[in-house]
Amino acid sequence: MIKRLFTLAFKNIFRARNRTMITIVAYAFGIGLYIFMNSLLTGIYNTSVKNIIDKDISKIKVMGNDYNLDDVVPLPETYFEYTKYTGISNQYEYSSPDIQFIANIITSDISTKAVIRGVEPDKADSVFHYSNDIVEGVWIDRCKDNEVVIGGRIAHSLNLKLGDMFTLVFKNRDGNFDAFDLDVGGIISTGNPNIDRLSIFMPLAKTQEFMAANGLISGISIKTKNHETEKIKINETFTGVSAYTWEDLSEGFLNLDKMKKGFSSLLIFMIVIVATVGIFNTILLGMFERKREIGMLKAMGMSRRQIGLLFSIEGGIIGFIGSLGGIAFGLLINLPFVIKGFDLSMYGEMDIGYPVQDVVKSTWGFEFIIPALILGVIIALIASWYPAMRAAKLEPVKTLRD
Amino acid sequence: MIKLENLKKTYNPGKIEVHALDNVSINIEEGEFLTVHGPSGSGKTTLLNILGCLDIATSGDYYFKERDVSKLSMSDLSNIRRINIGFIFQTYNLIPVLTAYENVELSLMLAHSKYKKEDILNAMDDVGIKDLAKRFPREMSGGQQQRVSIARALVKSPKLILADEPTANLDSENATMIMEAMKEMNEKYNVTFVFSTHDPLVMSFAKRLIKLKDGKIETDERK
Repeated sequence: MIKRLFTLAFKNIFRARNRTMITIVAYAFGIGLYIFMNSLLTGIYNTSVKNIIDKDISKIKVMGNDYNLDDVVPLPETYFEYTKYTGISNQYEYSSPDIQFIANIITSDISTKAVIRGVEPDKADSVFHYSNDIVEGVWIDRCKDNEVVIGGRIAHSLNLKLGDMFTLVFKNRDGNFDAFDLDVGGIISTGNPNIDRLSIFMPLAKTQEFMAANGLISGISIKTKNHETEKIKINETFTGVSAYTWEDLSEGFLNLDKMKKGFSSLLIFMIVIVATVGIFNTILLGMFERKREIGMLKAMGMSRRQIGLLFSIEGGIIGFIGSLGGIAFGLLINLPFVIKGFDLSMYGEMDIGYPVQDVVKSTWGFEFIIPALILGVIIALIASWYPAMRAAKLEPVKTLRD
Repeated sequence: MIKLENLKKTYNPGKIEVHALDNVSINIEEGEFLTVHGPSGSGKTTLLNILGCLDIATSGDYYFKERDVSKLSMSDLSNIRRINIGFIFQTYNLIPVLTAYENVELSLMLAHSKYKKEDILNAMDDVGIKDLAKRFPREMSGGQQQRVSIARALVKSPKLILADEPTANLDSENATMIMEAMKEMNEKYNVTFVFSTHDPLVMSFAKRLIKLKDGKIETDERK
């Protein structure tokens, strides 16, 4: 019987072909947007996470106890003695100590703020593979004494080229302002705007000297698996420092991601609602147009449940076809963004809140196919529930007379 | 097979009451071929609706095969219709998206979970439309559609077939053929036919004529 109900439902939905097709297209559009938006946002999210872990924070960062999560860089008061915590470096094969502070960079005509990152060249490279991101010149392990590696975007905005000189002005740990002339020895481009737009790299020893922080560091980046467990271990083992996961230090980005996904879901939900109204309308009109037929089916002994099921199946089929169409449509419009990506540089230097820049690639979105299909069919079933119930409750005596 | 005792059907009870049926008592035996006639508003359709378990009486008793159906739920009435009662309407009421064969099959499928293709083809053959099995209703004449609706009513081997003005939309030639087909089925399978009609042709085929007036039986004649 179910098979016959499906056959009948399938034939019924194409009785008003134009109306059904419009509904299916609208539904497919909503589902397609769901696939596309989620794939794109997931692509942006994945690239952002990769940029944070691979180029900025790593999985865990150990900071001084007084470090405030709201600070862009650790304040000099939170620096701690590296020698006391060599156990951390010994315990983790891939770890990189650093000092970070904010400085002004001044060229002959422009000035801007930057984050100075003092790192041990080999250790930083083992964690972040910065040497692979050098686009001009060399990584700091091969720089001359007065040379530093500068983020590609800062170099571009300050019009600095390899070998050019600029002045670094900053306040050291003692509260005194200091200034040094430095040369560009390398230009780095990682894809992470925190590095490319903001950072200047130099050896750790030099930053300790600049900041009058001999033997001190502001943090240790650690690359490890099971970072949640390792964070707990470090916090239990070492006093005077605190370990944070990349998630702890990226709260702003993660919240923004949640908010944007929420907003996008809301937008998609509204589109799907409009499409759902289409299904509701299609099934309801079908019910009104076929009142006499419903009466006949009831006269033949079809139960209320079977009549309701027939109309629900009709809605479900529209939802299923619409969802399949939407999946195909979503994957298709997503395809160029998977292959060529989405070029954020068209927004210039605008901060979109994600640690990404230039071209971001969308994910294939295959993981959204099943949810889209289930969601599509369930919403369609919900949309057809009311017309189905009305059809089920029709009295044959009245409808046969219509 | 059917026993109606003091059946009343009142519309708008408590307000301006309309007595569609007023103390109707009838016995209908298995294999009867009877018509219910009378002027418009006399209660013919109401009586057929109650006999067909599509509607329930306001008061009185209705026994179908010795079972009191006057107090059954809509679901139970639906089960009685599904297995025991076939309907034929003036406007045929075929499902337009189904072929003639599928229309007949649907009726059988609802009544019996197991059936054979031959059962459907035999029912269609009985009314002379076996060759039209693959045609859709829009591809058939009125007479052919009415034959499909007869096959649809017959295929589940019901005890009772109710026909509401079955010849009203047919020319006299087709009407005669349809009536002859139903008469033949009545004789062949001993199935009971009850017609609601104005048509003298239908009445000429009937073995029993019940005339209603103002919801009451005015005459009940057997030929």
